[in-house]
Amino acid sequence: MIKEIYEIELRRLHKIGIFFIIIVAAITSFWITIFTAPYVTTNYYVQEIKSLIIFLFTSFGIILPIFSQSLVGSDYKYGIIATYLSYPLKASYIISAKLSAQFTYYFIGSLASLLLLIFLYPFSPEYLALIFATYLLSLAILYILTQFSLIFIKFQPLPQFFTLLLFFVLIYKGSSITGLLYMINPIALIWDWSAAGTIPLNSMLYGLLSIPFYLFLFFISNWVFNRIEWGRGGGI
Amino acid sequence: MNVIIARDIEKSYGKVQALKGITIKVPKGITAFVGENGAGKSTLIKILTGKLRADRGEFEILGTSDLMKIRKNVGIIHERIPLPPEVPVEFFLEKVAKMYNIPKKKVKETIKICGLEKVKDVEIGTLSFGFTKRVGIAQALIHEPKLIIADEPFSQLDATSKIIIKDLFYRLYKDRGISFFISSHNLHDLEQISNHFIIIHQGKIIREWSGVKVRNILLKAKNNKELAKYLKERGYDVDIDEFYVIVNSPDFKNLLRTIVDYPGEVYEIRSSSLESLFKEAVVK
Repeated sequence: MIKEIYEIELRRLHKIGIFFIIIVAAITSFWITIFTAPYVTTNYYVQEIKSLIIFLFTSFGIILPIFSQSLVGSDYKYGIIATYLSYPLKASYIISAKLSAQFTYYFIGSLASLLLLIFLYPFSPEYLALIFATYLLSLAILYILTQFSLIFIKFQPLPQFFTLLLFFVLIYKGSSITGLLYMINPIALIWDWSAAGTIPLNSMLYGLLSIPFYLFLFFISNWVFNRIEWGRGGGI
Repeated sequence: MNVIIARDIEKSYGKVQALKGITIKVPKGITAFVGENGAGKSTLIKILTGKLRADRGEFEILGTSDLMKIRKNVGIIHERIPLPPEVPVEFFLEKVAKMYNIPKKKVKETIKICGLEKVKDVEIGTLSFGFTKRVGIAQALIHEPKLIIADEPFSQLDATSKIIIKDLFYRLYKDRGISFFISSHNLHDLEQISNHFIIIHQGKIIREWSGVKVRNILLKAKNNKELAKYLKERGYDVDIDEFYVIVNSPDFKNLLRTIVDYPGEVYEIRSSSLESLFKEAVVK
């Protein structure tokens, strides 16, 4: 049943899908240009790519969830989610289907730029694998953070504020990553670990804790969605 | 068999008590659920369809209180028909049908029943309100539910759309045995198609009765209970409430003869309409 809602949502995004792809691709390309151009001829690009990845993650982290929160929020106000809830579907499935459709477009948009990056620069196969893994992990983390923020969908624009706050903290602290930030942003940990060499044990511990942390966010949001009173303020 | 049974349903929004112990039994057929704005109609419908949780009380729909089972067997028509505007009618209905494992053939049939052939490839958002309502009915109908719960289905419709939808409801009931629980302000439309009536006022059920149509006779006597007993003994289908003895669908001539022979005093005799009953029950 979740598949049918996903297909409806994908079709709904069809009209604005090109807009999504262009925006997401433009952001990716912008950051690639800024952070790789001066250093590509040097041997220091490992560190710079780490910065690129963190900034990409942060800029995506602000833009993609806010897109999604606004789209889901408008459907909630208009009552479309309430209509979906009249079918034998759990609320968490509906949210998952909607977000999956949106993230499909984000994936297509950013993949185009990622492929461009790979063609332009001579990365080794290990780095290519790492870039792809990081890229997929970024989307997965953003998906979970967006889903979690939608718990507060009734109180818009609280989810958007939550997103801005989180990623402004990441930007502010981005240059000096603490152990706790490895938990919020495990992408940084992966790059430090695999590209830059060793990392302190306590940071690694925080990094490992990121797995239960995101699992917790995912399951707690599913649990809450299935218990929210969707009728109130739900546009019906 | 009752399609909906609700017992002692209570719901408050902060300090405002929207439902004050609602107990109803809705039989098969078309039930009109009538009340003023803010009476609690939509709140009860939201509770019955799982959009809200009651503070107290319980309900069963088609013999179950399991929400997923209810949604499988019940069609829901929301007042504002919030459907995804960017998708074409047929595409949307096909996806809804697929959720219930209903074959494509049934989608075509539903489109025909609801008079949507001409607009099946049109995006829902570009349809007129009347057609959007019909799509709302089609999506509630597509899985052949045993019951359809409709919240204000006639609101904001032009006269032609009202007639079409009203006839559609009546045909679905007569031909397919689908029961309806309809909340509406449009008393005249409900009177024409309904056979069970419930009036809600300030969160309480204040009157409930059945009849093929609301062409009942209302009698007021010095002793209503005595009159009701007298008529029951003579084979009439009689209800009694706070104000009247209600004789359901009687043969008017025979009833008049019986009343003439009644030894007690009768002050008033008249036919009822839903509007007059509603007015008496609510406006008083």
